[in-house]
Amino acid sequence: MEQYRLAKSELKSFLELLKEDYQKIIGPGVDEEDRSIFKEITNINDLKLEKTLPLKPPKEFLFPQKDNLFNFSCKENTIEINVKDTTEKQVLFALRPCDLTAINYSDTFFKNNLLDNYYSQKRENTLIIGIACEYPSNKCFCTSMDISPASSNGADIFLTNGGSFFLTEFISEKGNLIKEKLKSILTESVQEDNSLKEKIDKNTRSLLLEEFNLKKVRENLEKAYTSEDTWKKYSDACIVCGACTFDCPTCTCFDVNDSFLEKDTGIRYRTWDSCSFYNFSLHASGHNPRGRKVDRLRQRIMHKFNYTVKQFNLWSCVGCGRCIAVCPVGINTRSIVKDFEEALNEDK
Amino acid sequence: MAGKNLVYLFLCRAKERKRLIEKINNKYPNIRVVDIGCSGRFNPEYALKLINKGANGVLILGCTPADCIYREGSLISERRLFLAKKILSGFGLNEEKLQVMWHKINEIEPVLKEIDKFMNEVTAIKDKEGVEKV
Amino acid sequence: MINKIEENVKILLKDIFKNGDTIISYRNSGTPEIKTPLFIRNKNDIDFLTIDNFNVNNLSVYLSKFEQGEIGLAKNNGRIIITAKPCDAKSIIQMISDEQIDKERIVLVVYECDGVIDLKKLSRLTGELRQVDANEEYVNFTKLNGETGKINLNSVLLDKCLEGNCGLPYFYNYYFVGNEKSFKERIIKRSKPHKLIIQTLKDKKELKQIVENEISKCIRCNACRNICPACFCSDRCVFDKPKLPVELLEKDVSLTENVLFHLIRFYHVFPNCTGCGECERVCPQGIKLNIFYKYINEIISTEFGFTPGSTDSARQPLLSYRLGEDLV
Repeated sequence: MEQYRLAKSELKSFLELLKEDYQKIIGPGVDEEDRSIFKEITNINDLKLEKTLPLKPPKEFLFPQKDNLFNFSCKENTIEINVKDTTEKQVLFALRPCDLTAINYSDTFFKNNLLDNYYSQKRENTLIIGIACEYPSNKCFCTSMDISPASSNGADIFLTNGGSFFLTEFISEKGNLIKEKLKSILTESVQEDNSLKEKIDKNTRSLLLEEFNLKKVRENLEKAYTSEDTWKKYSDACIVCGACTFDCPTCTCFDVNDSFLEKDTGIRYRTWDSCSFYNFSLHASGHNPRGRKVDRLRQRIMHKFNYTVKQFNLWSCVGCGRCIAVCPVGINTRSIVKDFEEALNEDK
Repeated sequence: MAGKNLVYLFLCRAKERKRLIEKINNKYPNIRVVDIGCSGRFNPEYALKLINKGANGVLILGCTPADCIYREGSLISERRLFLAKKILSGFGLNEEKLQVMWHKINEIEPVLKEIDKFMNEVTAIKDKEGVEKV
Repeated sequence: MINKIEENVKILLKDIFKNGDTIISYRNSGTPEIKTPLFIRNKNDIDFLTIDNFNVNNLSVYLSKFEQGEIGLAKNNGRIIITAKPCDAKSIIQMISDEQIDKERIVLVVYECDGVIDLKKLSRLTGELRQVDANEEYVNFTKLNGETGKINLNSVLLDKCLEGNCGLPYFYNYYFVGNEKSFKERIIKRSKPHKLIIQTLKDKKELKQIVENEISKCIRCNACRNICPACFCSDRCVFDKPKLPVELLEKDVSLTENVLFHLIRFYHVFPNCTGCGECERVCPQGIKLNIFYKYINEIISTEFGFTPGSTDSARQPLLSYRLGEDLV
């Protein structure tokens, strides 16, 4: 892994050189209400790197909210199916370690058993540039999920703020391919640069509001499965809107439907689905194993903090806090999980 | 639905309006006639859906309050249809596309006259808007 | 002033609470500026209650929604004691008028607030917070990095509070007076008419463009429908496909379907919408739903002279008629 310095004044040229190979650059900017979001960067002034975590996760650029799977038309004795390949290349710029870990999870999910072509095509055409996080929100808890705010895991290229420059590391093969092109604007890195990441990690850690012990939580969650009163406390306020799952970078559930444009022709598409919805686990027989809010909330917490470890050896929560920020009724996942740090009393 | 120029006519007591329906079907092949029993039964959501999806217009033909065999059917639907029109205009859609006619059960010529006028109006609107997108 | 109200509310509740009752109020969540609804089923939990300027939720929504297949709150036979701001009380009174809840079962505890803080406005001015509290004049805060600051309460209040969406509720069981001066000022503001976007636009095309721009952001999460107290169809909603023989709305999130969703939803809540603004607050995409709900409130009040939430036994305008009205 080679590292260089990229002067901040050269950031514009950096993006322009990337644009030669990649059609779109998506990075952190602001919307019309001055809130931090991911959007297409066409002008260097659109880029805002010193704001808090963008509201929406970058998953929509790899797994869109509505994805057309194929067109079909029924003729006489056959059905014609047309699939469009994705060829557009894009850069996801300045993703923080939480989002990098989430992409690692969704990569594993969409490869499990059967490779998902729609996701993997977009993924192969994407270059991921990470950045060490210095501006957390008061809802973040990445460190409790074993993620360091300066971890480069999952990025092709990783940037670390060094004041007047970014320390630039080329990590993966994809990143190295583009290194030659960028060499003209990169300068030598010196020995002191190696301590930058540690400093940022320490500083950002001190800004986080709340932390918990993940291993203890997982043990206690297993034991608390059957205690319904405990879970009811948290699910009473829920209004079953699903916004937490839509804004979660690791939530990957989807629903497939057909839309008929005219008689015998149409599109098959998939849209995001949410395990918080009543219809999610509704059987054709009419039985619903998770018909109550309390069942669905328990399922969500157990899935993120227990089940996926058994399935993929990965936590499917990255501590970004977006579910807390978007919840209309203020349900706080971090607080719920922290409550499980202590074992329940036997008589509850 | 795009490019098909459909108008939907919802009317009540279709059995007693057979002659009228025959005349409409002959003169206007692009009007689809739907029997709803009583205009008070009509759910304006379907009118909203049809107009949103690109229908040229939706016409509702009901009985005058004195004529209604269910006593209050047309009276109840009056406010609902009024609000449906207001909602359409509030969303920037053309409220002229939804029109309501109250006629006695055996009137034919006055009904045809109004339908004529309505078809001219919606064709003019459609031409102005250009090709509709579904 | 509002901190005094919290003490007094706690004393009252401890007094009137009986086993089997459910109290719906607010408590702290793990984030300093966010409060979350609290359901109290035993007396000891009353101490967790908080009443302050951050209590933005309209708690009446929990009275009108049934859990799918399981009637949540109506299960036991005790009373439901609910703490409400005057604007929330309007929603509850409208629900009683629509016969969605039984007046005898509710104990309505209304308190005059100094206005509720808009968290979007707050975060724009302060950034991420470690600690925050408010009184009738200022909001005092500490940022994550330790810096402290102070801003005027009025600069971060919700738009509906600045426009005076409050007023003395038609009925209540208990009433806590707050800062009388600011409350009266806000009621006076309400009588000043505000221009609706729909009225100021002369060109229909411009309105259509604005509507399409806003609604193209919609992801059909149904948060606006679920938080709305006027949407009391809950598990029998017309948008849930298995309940109808014919699908009214496709699952497709194209612009046409999204416009249809909002068209139908606003058509359905027309006579019951009290203008609480929760739909706009909870939208994860930030769609300006105030364009629509203010418009429908205006139509209902000018055409039928009816203000939802003003009385608990109104004749529903859509279930009645006047001879010779001749509207269409």
